[in-house]
Amino acid sequence: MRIYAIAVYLFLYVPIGIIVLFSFNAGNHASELRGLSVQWYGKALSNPFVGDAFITSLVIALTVAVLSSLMGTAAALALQRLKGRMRVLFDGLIFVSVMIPGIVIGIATLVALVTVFDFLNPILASIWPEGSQAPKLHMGYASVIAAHTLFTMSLVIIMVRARIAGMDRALIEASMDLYATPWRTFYQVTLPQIYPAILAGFLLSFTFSFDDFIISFFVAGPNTTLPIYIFSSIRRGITPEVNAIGTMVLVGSLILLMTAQYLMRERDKTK
Amino acid sequence: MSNNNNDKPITATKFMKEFHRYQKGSISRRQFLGVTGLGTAMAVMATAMPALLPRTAFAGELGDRLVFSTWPNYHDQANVDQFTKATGVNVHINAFGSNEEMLAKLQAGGTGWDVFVPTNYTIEEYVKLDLIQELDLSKLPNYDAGSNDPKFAGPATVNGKVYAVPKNWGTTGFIVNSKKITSGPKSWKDFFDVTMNAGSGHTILHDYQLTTIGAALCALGHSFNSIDAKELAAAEALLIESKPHLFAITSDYQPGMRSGDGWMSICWNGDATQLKRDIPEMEYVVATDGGEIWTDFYCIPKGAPHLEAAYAFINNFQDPAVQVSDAQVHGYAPTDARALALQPKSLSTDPILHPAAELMSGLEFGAAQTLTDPIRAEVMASFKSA
Amino acid sequence: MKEQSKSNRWLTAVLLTPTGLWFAFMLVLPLIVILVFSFGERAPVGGYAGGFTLEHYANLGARLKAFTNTLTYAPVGTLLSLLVAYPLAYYLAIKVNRRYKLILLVLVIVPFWTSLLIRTYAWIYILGGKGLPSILDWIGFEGVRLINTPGAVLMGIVYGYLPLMVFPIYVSLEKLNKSYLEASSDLGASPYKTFMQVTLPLSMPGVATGCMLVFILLMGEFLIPAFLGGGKVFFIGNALVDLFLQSRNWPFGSAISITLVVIMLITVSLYMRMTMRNSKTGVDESLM
Repeated sequence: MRIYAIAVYLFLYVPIGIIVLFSFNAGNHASELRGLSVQWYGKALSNPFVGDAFITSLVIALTVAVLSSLMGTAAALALQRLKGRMRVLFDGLIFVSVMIPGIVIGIATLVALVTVFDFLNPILASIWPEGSQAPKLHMGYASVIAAHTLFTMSLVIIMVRARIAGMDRALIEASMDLYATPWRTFYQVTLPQIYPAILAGFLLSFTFSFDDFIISFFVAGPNTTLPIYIFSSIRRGITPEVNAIGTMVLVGSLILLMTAQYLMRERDKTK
Repeated sequence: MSNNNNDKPITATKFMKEFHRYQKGSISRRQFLGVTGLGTAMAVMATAMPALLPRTAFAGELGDRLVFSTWPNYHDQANVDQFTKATGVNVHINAFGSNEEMLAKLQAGGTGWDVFVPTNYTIEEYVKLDLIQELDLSKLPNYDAGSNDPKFAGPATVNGKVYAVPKNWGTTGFIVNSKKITSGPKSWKDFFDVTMNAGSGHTILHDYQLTTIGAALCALGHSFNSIDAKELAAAEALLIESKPHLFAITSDYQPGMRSGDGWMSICWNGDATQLKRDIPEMEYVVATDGGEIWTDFYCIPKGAPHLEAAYAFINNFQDPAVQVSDAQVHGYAPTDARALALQPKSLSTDPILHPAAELMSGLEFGAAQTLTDPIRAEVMASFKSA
Repeated sequence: MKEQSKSNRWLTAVLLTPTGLWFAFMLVLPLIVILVFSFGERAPVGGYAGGFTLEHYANLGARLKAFTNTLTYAPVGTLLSLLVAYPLAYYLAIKVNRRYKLILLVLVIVPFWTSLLIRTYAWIYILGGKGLPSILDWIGFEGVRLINTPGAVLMGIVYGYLPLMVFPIYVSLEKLNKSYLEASSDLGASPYKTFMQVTLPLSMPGVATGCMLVFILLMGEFLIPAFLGGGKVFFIGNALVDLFLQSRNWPFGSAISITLVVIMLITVSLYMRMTMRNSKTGVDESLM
């Protein structure tokens, strides 16, 4: 059993070890190791397109995470009070949005938006005051955020709803009996109980959006997210710069995780 | 930083206290940043990530970014770096494996590209679809229309207007690893024979309808550019028959050929030069039963976000000296007589760059109708999914 | 009383509006558009032109291989991931010392934080001619080709989706009360019998969730076959990318998308019904 576990961990980590090793490659090709150097880290950090892509990904993933946890939680709370046809409709939509493959979301969004923009742009241009350039709608941040949020919002709804189902009803009823306002009941009783699910949903949404390639590939327009940048680097003939980027993202997330762990332990101690 | 900053990370309560003071206005922003350590953090970030800061040094009229879409292994990185150094414009390179892929991206809109490199047969269609700009030649002083052979440069002019300037010309043949395949294939017919016999499992075809379908058409004795439904059906059958014997379908075949998995591939002549430079047993073959001769061009798509940088970039690569130094790395011949005159003997006498006249006579320029022909598109797509 | 329920209804409506709008504009509208497009014509230069034809649905046979490939690789890949993941999840949940549990668990998830693109790319090198085959060559197995084979694609699938499978199974095994296992062995049941009659049934919700997650993602997979299959192992995802980003046949691509969605609806509903009947608890929503 133990040997098996070790074998699986090796399977998981050998490719990552290779990524990290080649990030210190002194040569120009990702496939041949020619001495060690940190030059590719310098190159990646001073390449403004890497910085742009990183910030684009970060902005998109944060917006997606915030939007999905807010809207998802609101919808989950509302859905538990909803009965009848509307409830069936929403359950169906949630099911479809989770189960539909990302590539179909990407394509359908692309096709729909191109069609809508082709329809709206001439109208915009015609009603715009003479002399000034009418804005032209195109793909970009908004389309990526909207498409990601569709999926992640449904994830949050499912997670929060499962938490609500396991929640202590008696507490809420007690609070209502004590004539607390609904807002107060929510803030002091409901929220603390569903909070872990919201947080988990937030993190999952962020991770999904930050790592998504296929949806962004179709709807990002001129914006380059980090996975799109990596994809284009791989197609261009990969240099160890990509390995350096991957290693930095990995180390960055490890540091975040350890900080979170440390802070939580500190908090527990002070309690 | 301020004096009371004792280098220790600030505690949460202290941070909040300072934050309230800052909000109330009793301390300045600079003090606040200093005390909380945020300033230090930002300063560290800033030195570590110059990429995140706006560039002031060169933020002149050119801007500091350029998005360039081209083909794999088609540039000398040193020349691109040199351009960045001279102008402050950083270049992001996207590589594409076919003209159809570039067209699909442009048709979907909002690519963000500033310069791209289409092939001769596509330019007229791009103009029809209103996807590329007419070039302002006054911004390209290094370009000399008179020194470009009209045979190559012709497609750049549509309805009397110039939409493109030539980059390089070349041929599409195939490459053979002569240590693995010793029979010395000479034609596309040989190419498919070897693929399905001695070389089974080691051939690479392009993910590009023009060259892959073209090769199959030539092997069957038809024109490289055929759009005849019957001939295309025969080509599709040949391709599907050969599919189990392929190593890969990709236009970026250098990695596969270098790793030793690929023994034979449809090949552009510059890639052949690059491969042969490192692996002497690689032999480039201009097929005796036909193939492609082509010119690639620099174009600017409509709505390019960094227009001035785009002109500066193209102009830089029209400089004859730059063209020659680029050619020495990527192995494609310039069309510009000034550059041809400058090139060293190693280039001018290289049979891969300048094949013998009798081999050239069977080659065809890609035809415009192949780009949009629905049958060719579907033949390629169904071959790939077969 | 009436007053309150009215305000309640208002609140429900307000809370649901953003989500409802999102579904309307980002799910229902795009699906309607591709449904309409799937009956249209390919424009002469590519893209979409209006019209009404059933030819794209009639032509689905031209991508039959992509459909059969996806519908074999997705379940087989799911099953393989399950076979690799289950023992590991079991080990982590039951066998491992509590002190190391968290760190070992985190180590399963960490690979998820390097881009899937880069991790898959690393395998191109490992399986390519200069990687494993050259080592095999050296021990005496000559001319082994690993990259661009069905095996390479399956391996990439297991590698890419393993954490997604380990995690839900781990959670459901973790919930399983150890005293059950002790009781079972106290009652003289063999370890095999304990596993088959206690552990396995109780971990079914995790297995069902993990399988569904992996299956759904595999049905739309595009990168792994593209990178490790060399364009030779073709999924529906690859066919779609091809139709939209290469041959520019939007109506045919739309018809394939619609067909894929229908297949998903049928298989996933069937699957959920089946698991619900078998294990009573069904897919554990809290794990998604």
